[in-house]
Amino acid sequence: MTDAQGSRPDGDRIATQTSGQSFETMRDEELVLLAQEHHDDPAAFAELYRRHLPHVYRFLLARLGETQAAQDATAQTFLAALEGIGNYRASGAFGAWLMMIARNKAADDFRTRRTTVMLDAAAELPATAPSTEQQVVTRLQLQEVLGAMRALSPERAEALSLRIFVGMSIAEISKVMDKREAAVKMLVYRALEDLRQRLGYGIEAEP
Amino acid sequence: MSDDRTHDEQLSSPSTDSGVSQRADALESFLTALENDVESDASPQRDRSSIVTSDADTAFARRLVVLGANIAPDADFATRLHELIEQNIRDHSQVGNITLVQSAGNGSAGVASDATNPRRQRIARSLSHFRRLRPLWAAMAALLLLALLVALPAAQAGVKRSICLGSVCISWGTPPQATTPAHGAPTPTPLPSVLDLAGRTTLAQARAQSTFPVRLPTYPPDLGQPSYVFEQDLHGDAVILVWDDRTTASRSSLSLFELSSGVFLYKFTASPIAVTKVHGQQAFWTSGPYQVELQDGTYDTRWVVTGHALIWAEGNITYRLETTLSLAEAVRIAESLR
Repeated sequence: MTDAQGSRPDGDRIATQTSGQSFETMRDEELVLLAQEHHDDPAAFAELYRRHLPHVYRFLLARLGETQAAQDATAQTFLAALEGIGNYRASGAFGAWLMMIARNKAADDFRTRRTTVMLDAAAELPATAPSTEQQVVTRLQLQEVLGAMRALSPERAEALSLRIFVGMSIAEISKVMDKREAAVKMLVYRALEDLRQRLGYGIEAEP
Repeated sequence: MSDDRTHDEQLSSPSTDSGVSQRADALESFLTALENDVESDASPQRDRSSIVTSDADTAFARRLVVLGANIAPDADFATRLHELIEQNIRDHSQVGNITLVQSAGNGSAGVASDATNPRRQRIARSLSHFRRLRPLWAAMAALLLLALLVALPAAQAGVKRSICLGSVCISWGTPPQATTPAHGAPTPTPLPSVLDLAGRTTLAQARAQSTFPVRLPTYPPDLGQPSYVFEQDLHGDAVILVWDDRTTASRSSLSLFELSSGVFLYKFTASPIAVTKVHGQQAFWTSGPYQVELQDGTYDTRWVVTGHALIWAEGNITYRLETTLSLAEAVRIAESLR
């Protein structure tokens, strides 16, 4: 998984470990071990948070379609991860484990949501778009896409969100969704096709 | 792997239309190539048109990838949550110690309450000991994390957020009315405000008329029957039980709201809220004075209590325990409902 934003939420405040090895160069599993063994030191978990926040948030926004719900679910995901990290065992990718939590939080939101929410995802787009015109176009597209995604079957929407918006591999999604890789691949394809048809080519084809 | 094969999975079986399967493979190959192209590119602004798109699906996928890459959490939200995680992990020792003192009662209070105590330092160096504390620490760290998460946004004028558990939604930020009670040590509920509630009845009548079993705390053992019982129809049954403060006749010491699934109780607060657990399930703990809004279709707003409240759900019933006692005692009371 890569962070397409490539940005840190708070600059370069993450400290380096006393051994001199930067947290930034560590693998997730190493950071998890540090977070487990030095749980009075926030740096390891904070680095995990920094690394995975964009993915968790993108997935939850894509699934829930609404900013506040996505923020709440994101906070709950990391709270649950913080609480459960002591029990996490390196049996798989930390990102996949985190995304399983996020998936459950999204499901909780769907179960408990009582009213139809307004799509306000446009506020999520960074203010660094090339131009005002392009910003508007992009926001409209995002609103359209997130709205249409809510009409997809939950499994298709999950698979598409994880593959396209989060950038997880088919193998990683297979673990998160507990499905065969071939099935995940098909879910992604069907979701994409379904979404494209629902949008009626709402996003213009590339020139 | 799941055996619950969906339509999409069945489509991936050998009998599947090979054309569809091939297109799915082609899409995946395209996405992989797109990622590799982006990852190997030092410049994030590089024109991605070098990736050849073969059909409408891949063109659409490419646009989605670009669109998704533009989704980022609000910078303030990300920074605030990040800082709070760091702060709360740093504070965990103190929080964990408080838990030890309150819940263990094992004579370790002197150790736990003094971070500079050599015994405390030895404990800190002992991973095995910390592992025993970890569940407590994790729970309390999460508790304080959300407390600060909620408290800080409240200071931002105009920002309103909410979180729901069962029938109770808590919003923070600017209250719907201009004035908010000053924070401070919680005080028992003034009795007149409780007696203003409509629907006063008896426990027997409430139990006979309610659509759900009305439960009572069995802790503390000498708590006894509630002093007052109210039953209201708020698009669902709401039963409110109030116990007098034995030391101050004009105040109540404990109240318990039992809310069926149709009821909404909105709580506006600038006070910290926190996450804890009742019977292993998520619960909220709120502190200090706040404003409660009972939604009865007309959005009637009432000021009801000034105290701590523990909110949790069991099945379709949401409970809200108002008390001046500590969190540990409140959880004990909550888990004693019978």
